Amino acid sequence: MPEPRTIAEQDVTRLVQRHQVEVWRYLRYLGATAELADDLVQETFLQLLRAPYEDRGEAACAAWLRTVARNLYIKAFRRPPFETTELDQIDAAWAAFAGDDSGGERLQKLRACLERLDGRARQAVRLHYEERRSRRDIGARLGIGDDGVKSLLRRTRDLLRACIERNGEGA
Amino acid sequence: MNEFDDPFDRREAWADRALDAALHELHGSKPPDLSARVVEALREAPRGALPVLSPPQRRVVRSQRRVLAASLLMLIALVTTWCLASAFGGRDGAPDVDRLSAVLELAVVRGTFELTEMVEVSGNAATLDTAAHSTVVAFGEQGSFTARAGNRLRSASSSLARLGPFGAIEVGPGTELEVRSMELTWKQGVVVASALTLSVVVGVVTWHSLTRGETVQAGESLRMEAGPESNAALVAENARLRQRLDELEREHTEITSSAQREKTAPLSTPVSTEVVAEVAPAPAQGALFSDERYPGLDSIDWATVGGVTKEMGPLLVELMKEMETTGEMSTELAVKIQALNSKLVEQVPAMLKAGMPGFGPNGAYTHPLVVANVLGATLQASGQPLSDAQRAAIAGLSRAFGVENQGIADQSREFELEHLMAESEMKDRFYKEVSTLLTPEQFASVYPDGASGSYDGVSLFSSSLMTRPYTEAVSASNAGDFARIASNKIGEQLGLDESTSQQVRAVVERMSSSAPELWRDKGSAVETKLRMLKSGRTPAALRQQIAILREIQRKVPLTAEQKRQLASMKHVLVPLPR
Repeated sequence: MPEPRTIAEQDVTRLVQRHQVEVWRYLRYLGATAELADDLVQETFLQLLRAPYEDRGEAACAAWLRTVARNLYIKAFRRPPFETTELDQIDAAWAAFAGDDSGGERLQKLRACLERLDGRARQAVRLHYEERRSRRDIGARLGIGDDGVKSLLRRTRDLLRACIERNGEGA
Repeated sequence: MNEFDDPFDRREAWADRALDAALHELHGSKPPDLSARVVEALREAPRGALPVLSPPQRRVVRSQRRVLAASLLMLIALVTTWCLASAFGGRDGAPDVDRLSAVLELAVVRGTFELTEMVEVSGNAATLDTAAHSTVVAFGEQGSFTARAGNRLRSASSSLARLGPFGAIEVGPGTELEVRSMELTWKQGVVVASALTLSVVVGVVTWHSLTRGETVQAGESLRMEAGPESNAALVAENARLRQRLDELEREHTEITSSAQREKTAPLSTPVSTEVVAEVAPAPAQGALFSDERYPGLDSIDWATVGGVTKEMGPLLVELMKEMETTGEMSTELAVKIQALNSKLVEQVPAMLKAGMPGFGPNGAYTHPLVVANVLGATLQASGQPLSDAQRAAIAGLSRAFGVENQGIADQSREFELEHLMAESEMKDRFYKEVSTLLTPEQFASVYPDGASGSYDGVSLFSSSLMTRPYTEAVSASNAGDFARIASNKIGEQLGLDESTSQQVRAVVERMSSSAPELWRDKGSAVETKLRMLKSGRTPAALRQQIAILREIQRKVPLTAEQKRQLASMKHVLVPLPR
């Protein structure tokens, strides 16, 4: 029977650096705040590193980490933040977004699409995502109501998704 | 939770959510490098320094699986029974979730809090009446607050208190908070408070915890989670209990030996009144808080640092107050401060040599580990040394924030100024956390009246020490005026031609005029003559400048070199309204 082996600190660092971006993005996708995502990523890796586990390769390890992260996220709430019957849809939407590079390529395309965005949509995106202003505040600046801001942001995201599908050509 | 709760197609909703998260990431909420944090957490893990990878486990055979499943089901049944018994433990077996509560310790660090709790006044369960019962917890006192839905916290003045395991809450004058809900979890056999939601009835509240901070205004709710800081609190509590145990053991020994002496000594001999010596406070010479990665910390003369900081703090406040009153700077005070400051500056090379990460020289000086030592030395010099419990708690905080500091230093960011912002925000949280651990007397020594929250640079325990060297006040009458000056500066730095400068100016003007908070207060004499900006101006301007730089990069045609220079800008142009 092979002896248990100790992982050197640099290997732990490498392992974390290899997978942390996807786990963090996945948690943010599920709805975690940036701070909660930081904490849960740490806890996810601690679970991986403290427990004996089989080295099942990169993809299986990534899937294991996502599952642990998701369970930790659900446990952070008194009531589950989403229906467990939705898990298939959740993972399918994530797989479609993340592809095989943790979403890196999609982010590049999104960046290109954002540069083509203009007018009120651009303003709303800037105020909401960059300046983190409330819907009420954005509404006051754009002269529309809270619901109007919500719809505008939703429509803008639809536009951006369509642009990404066209490989960043035109928003 | 978020805004996608009513979609017809859930898959579409989740795809939308993925895009929402991606947009947040592109606008600054980027995945951090947490490897240092994980390694640090592993080091602190009770089961050993490093993880052990086991060889592949033997597969569980089907019969074993059945036994395991049966055991698991039994366990689930037991846990469910316990949970049901707990949740349905109200009158007549009805669910009693609304009555879920926990008693939290509230320690007032500044101002006064009034705790209003609804208490039962009738024994008749059918017509149970309640009445409001209020208690006042003043500065320096501790009280117990039952965190049950409906109970309230009020404060007439600006106040700060540490609330159980949730960190600190800071409220503005005339603030009233109401408990909306309390969440409890079962950890290692103990029921612990895990989240507390407060709604702001009137006023404003800011929550400071080890890793988070949030400001919420009237009409909004604040959900506070018991974070990792509870570990620091537990460490502190352990240390306090250990100290108490030592004291009791000493008392016991003393009583036993006194009794022994009384028995054996001749009657004419007076009973010894000698008391066993108190635990000597730690000497201030070496580093009170150390880290093997930074052995150079021991070469710093902490006694000098502490003595100088103790003397300099009140002088800075005096200088600021005199300028506010007379509009003139006292030369005598300025000379004294300069002489003291030069003694601190003498220690900076040793700090830089110690290799502390940080944004610029004062980044090292405001590193959590250095701050912890400066604080310890200052209190030592003031004759109010940190207790063992405080030392344990601050050591835990400085270690945790030190890891976060390293993470920030290691992370690559689009703009240098993002680095400055992340680091200063983290350090502000650290200062807040540490200040809540001090006694009122210690707090007053470290933050002399008027030092906190007035002007950048007045307090020696503030992240403004780090940001000040990089701020440049731009006196301007409005956003257009500011845009003209700022775009000239940016244009000069980037070597822009006239037409590109105009485009930059348009961006700066548009974005500056959309931030009214930058133009609210006119610059005072302290700001123009002492170059000490009002607290809050620099963080607001820094946030706005990063947004402006991003917009310039997006909208203005720049060469690769100009983009590089834009990204490496380190100065914050702070509008100073005329």
